[in-house]
Amino acid sequence: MPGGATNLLAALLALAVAGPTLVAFVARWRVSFAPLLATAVAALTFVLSLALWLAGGAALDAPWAPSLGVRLAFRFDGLAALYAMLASGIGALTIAYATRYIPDHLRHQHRPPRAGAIFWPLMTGFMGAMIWLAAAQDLLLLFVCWDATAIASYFLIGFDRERGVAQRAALMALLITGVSAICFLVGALMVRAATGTLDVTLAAERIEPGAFSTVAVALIAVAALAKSAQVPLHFWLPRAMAAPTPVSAYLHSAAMVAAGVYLLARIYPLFLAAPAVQGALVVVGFASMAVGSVLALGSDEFKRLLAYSTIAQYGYVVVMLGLGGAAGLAGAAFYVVAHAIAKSGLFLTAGVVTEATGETRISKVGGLGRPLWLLAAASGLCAAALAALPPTVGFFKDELFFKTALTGGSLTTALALAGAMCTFAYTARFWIGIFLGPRRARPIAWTSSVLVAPIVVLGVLALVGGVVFGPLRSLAEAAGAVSAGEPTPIALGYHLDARPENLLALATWIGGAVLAVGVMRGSAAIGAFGAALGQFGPERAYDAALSGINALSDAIHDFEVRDLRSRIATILLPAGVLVLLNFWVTPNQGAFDPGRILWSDVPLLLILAVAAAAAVATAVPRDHLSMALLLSGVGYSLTVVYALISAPDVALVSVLIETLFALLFLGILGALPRSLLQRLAMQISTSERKRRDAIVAAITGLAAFTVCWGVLSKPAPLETAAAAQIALTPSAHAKDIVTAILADFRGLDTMGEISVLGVAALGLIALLGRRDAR
Amino acid sequence: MLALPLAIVWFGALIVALLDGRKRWVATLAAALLAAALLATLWLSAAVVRDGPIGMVAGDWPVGVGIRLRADSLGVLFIVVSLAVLLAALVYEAAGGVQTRTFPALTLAMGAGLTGLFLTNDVFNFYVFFEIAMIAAYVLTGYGSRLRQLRSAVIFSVVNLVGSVVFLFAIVSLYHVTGSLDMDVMRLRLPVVEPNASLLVGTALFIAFGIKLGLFPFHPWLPPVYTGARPAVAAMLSGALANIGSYGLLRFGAGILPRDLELAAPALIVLGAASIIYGGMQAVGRNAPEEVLAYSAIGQVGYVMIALGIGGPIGFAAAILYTILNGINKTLLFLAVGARGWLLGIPFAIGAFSVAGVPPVGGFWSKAIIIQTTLAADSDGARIWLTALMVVGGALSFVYMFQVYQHEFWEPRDEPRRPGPVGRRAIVALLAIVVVAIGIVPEPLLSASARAAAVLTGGAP
Amino acid sequence: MIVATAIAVAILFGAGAYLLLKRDLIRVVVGVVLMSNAINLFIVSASLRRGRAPIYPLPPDARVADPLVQAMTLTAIVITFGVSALLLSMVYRVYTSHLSLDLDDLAAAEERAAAADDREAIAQAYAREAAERDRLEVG
Repeated sequence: MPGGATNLLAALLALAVAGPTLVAFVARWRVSFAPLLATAVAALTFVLSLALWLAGGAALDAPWAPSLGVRLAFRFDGLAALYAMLASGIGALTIAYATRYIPDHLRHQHRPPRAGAIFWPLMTGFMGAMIWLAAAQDLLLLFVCWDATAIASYFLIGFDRERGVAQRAALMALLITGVSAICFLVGALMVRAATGTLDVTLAAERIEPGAFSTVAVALIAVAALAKSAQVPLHFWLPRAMAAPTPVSAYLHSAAMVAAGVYLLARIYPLFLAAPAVQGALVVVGFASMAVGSVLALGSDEFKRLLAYSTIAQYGYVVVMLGLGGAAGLAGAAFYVVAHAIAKSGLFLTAGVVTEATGETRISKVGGLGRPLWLLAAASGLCAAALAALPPTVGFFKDELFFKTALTGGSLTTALALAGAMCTFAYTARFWIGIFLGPRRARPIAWTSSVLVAPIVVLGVLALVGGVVFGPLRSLAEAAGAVSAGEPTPIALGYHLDARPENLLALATWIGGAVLAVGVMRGSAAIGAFGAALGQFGPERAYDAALSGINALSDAIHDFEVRDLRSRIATILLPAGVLVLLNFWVTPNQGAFDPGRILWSDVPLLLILAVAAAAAVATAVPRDHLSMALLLSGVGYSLTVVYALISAPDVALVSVLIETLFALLFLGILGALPRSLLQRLAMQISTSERKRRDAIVAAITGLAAFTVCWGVLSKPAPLETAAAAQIALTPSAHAKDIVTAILADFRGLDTMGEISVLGVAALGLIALLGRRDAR
Repeated sequence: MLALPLAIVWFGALIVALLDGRKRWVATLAAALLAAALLATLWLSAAVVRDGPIGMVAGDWPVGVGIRLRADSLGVLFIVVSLAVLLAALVYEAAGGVQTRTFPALTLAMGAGLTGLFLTNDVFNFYVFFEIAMIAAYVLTGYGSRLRQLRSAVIFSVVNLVGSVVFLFAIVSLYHVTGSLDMDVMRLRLPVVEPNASLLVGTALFIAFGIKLGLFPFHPWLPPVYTGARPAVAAMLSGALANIGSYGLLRFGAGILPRDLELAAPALIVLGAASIIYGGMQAVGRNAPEEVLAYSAIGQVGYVMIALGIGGPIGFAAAILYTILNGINKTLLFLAVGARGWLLGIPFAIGAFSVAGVPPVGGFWSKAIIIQTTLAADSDGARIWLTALMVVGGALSFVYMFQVYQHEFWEPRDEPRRPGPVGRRAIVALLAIVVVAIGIVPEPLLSASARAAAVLTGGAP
Repeated sequence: MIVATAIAVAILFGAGAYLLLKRDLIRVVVGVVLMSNAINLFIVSASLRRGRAPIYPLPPDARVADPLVQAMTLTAIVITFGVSALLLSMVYRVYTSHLSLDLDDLAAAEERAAAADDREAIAQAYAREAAERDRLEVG
């Protein structure tokens, strides 16, 4: 049995990679074949996931990067099963929906059908990444899958790539989720540093409470919360609505945002070492509920309303994870599924309404319940689930939520009730605003059954889940047990008694209905309030930060030096300073040896003085010819130096080279027009400029002096390589030791030297040989 | 066997120099020679991994008299990467038609210089090979012969000549204080040299290699050169030639002057941090992809410096891996910008993800290993600040890479661009596949860099 | 003697650095050459032994000047000559294509080129290049 299940897991993981690859090639070949294939891949993934869960799960483990201790470790446990089926199930439905939606969408945008080729591999690729993520046990492997979902999301949000809104939204989503993911990476490596393992289960066993562990877990939680669009990193989600509707319905309501809470559930055992982080989750969750709910109440755009609602709804889940306990952990898993069914149904509804009427706002439509009765009924079931009405699956999500909130005391209970009321109110407003009341939108163009069918399936699921809740309950219990490390039983059922959960539910419906009426009357005021909130919110901070660093970058760029001499000065100066810093770092006592000067050295001293004087004179401005002569003067003085210190070979070659160079230099000077040279020679630098140059030159010279003196003061006390070379020269059949070294012992150097000359000659010919300037 | 790769490129350069490089078959010959040298190096690496370092003395003279060559894990790894980058750049240029007769020969000459300096165990010989590579680079930067390239070439040569002079200062100083030119002998003798002199030498080496790398504050030459040079040349400079800087700091700093490297670690880390922030900040606001890449190169060097400053087997391995992956990324990106046509957005995006350290592409592993390194820093303060810097630097790289990616590939264009030659697009696609492959199968490169680091810390081969 | 040599090297090097900061490209080249001279002088002075010229026949027990630094100096002289000559021809080439050797002029041209969006010029160059290739293939 385990063998079969293991093969099934391997097949599932392989399909997650091979599926998108195949879709990509097919889309490249015949774009019209890709949608059906993508749907089939998603459906097959769902079937495999279900089969694997029914087979009891499986595990796989293989080394990946042993140097870093990273393993391809997968375990298809309850948590994995729940999220895998969620991602593939909702994925199959939304991709089926997209088979009709995307071609129409492209037609409206006046883009060729080919432009859709990228959509299908990205959707299936995202699903594959979610499958891997759900089953991954290794923290770095989790991170890899995590970022893979962010990549897919980036390109899908930017699907309408020529629209500025889509560009900015894609960049924002990438930056928020991508940069917070670096925190995940840091956190994961910190866990490894603390426990010596990247395996989640092992790390949870070994981790010790303390500041280090708290920071590590907090960093991972930051990434998770950003992905689930929690306050204060929530603002990317409403913007991400620039994506085509199937993407919003799939990634940004059901699957990618779910990855955040999935990660929290997966690393839940680590929270034992960081209780402070778990406490913070409750605060963040409630804050997200508040912000999301208020903004949702005030929104007029369908997709924005739903996006704010998603922020609030994941706030519920984060609160449940923060409070923990059996109801909290299993409830969080249950909640995610119930919410995904309801919310993606509503998103798809929004897409159909927009396709049918061309409108995107509640205030522009209404009364569509009669012409679109099937849609109205199906999405009514989804709305009922979101608003937690029985007998839909949504009733239980709130029941579990209240049960968890009650464990947190009266404050959390009150906040939970307020949040639930808001949910009821905006959901009611969404559905009533579209389907009831007077008809405001222009006549319906058409609706396709391909677009409505997935919504019907979701609506039926919402209803069936509320009646036959056993399977989902056991799945949620299994998922919760993975987080808790012990069984997390949740008793579900309809009870007609006055238990607190029921009272809270009743209060929700009454309060929500009152709120809904109030909101529909005064939604403009709440909208204005929401807009005002946006003025000061973190979204503003993001925009300010992004434009701020761009402006700062431009400012630095303007300040940066542009011309060659300043470029050189900015290199020489720090180099000189760095050398002079050595005085500060190392002991200077006895480091510098003044040396002795013998009478026999006097000629050498004199000629060195001549060379130095000629060098200084070269630097003084004057015409180019005398500069060339002075330069030769420096060279020839050095030749004399070489001769005086018993280096006849060097002296000879030096004479030759100096002469050659002088000829070349004079030749080039002769080829340049006299007027140009005069103009160059006449240039007078400002005295400030001269002073600055002189200071840079002095520091450079001083640094050279320091290195030179410091090094020459410490000759090697041991025998030198030269001694052996002197001794071996006769065996190289040479008289001149230097020649023997150049031609024999270090012949490689000489070959290299000739190569340098050869390349220089190639360059010379290329540069001087052609006249076709510009 | 040891000298085979060097011999192939060196004599190859000699032969190709006599031919007209504009002819297609000459460029093909040059590419074939580079490929042969690459294969020979791979063969050599296999032997090094199997049997440990291989050494020989040129001309069969006793050690100390002749020049000693040796192949160890560190050297061969750098040769493989550098030759591969040169090969990619040469094929890329050849696919579009080589413009001058010298281009293939110069590419081979640069390859010979690089191969030689990664193989030699003699510091002066290192200088000679270094100059071969540099002078080939000077001429290549001027390739294209428009004023823009010429100006780049002048800036590049003047600044790097200063760097070469400083380097030669250091080499000669090493001889003076140790009495030898052989790296192994130096390593043994330097501990008895007084810290003052050896630190001065170390500083000079750091300045020289800092200039090569474009490390802040020695960077001002780099942006105009990388943006002015032709894409193939920019790829060579950033992907192959810049390796000299990191290799030099590893070989000289970690290999010969470990004591001084440790002493200078704070300076390395501070300048590295400054480089990351400065390069990243400059890159954010730039609109042209070449400019972004140039400043990004300055920033990426900072990570290498920090890894070197932290040191130890982990730090050196991280520095090596980072250098190599950065070289490959930059090659891919410069070539992707230069070649135009359908689907080129994808290779660029892959390169961008790699620079930002996003899995599953190669750059992720260097980011992971560098964060692992900063977490291993020896004080709490360093751990916190450097790790925070990794997050900030990573965030900056996200911003600059994707702003320019969207600007370049998503904005509607008035007139469709004429697609570049197929060969160019193919080589870009191939490089992108390599970057992805490294991301998916990282172990060979991870263990190769760990082995190379072990050469420096005195572990296995 | 050590100090004297160090001073001489430093003066040559400093004078070279000063010239590198000039507007006139020819002076920049001269600066590079001066720096090369400084390093050549330093190599010779880094000799670990002074004595008679290292040429056989040598009397027994003779102190011989360090031949290795002399060999290194020779190599360095030749290499720096090659590089300086290349630089000089590059500068000449700048003149032929730009008719100026004033760095301020060149920097101004750089700004102008940036302003005129050099990327368009590159695109044109590509088009020319492609046209030329087509012509060659036809011919």
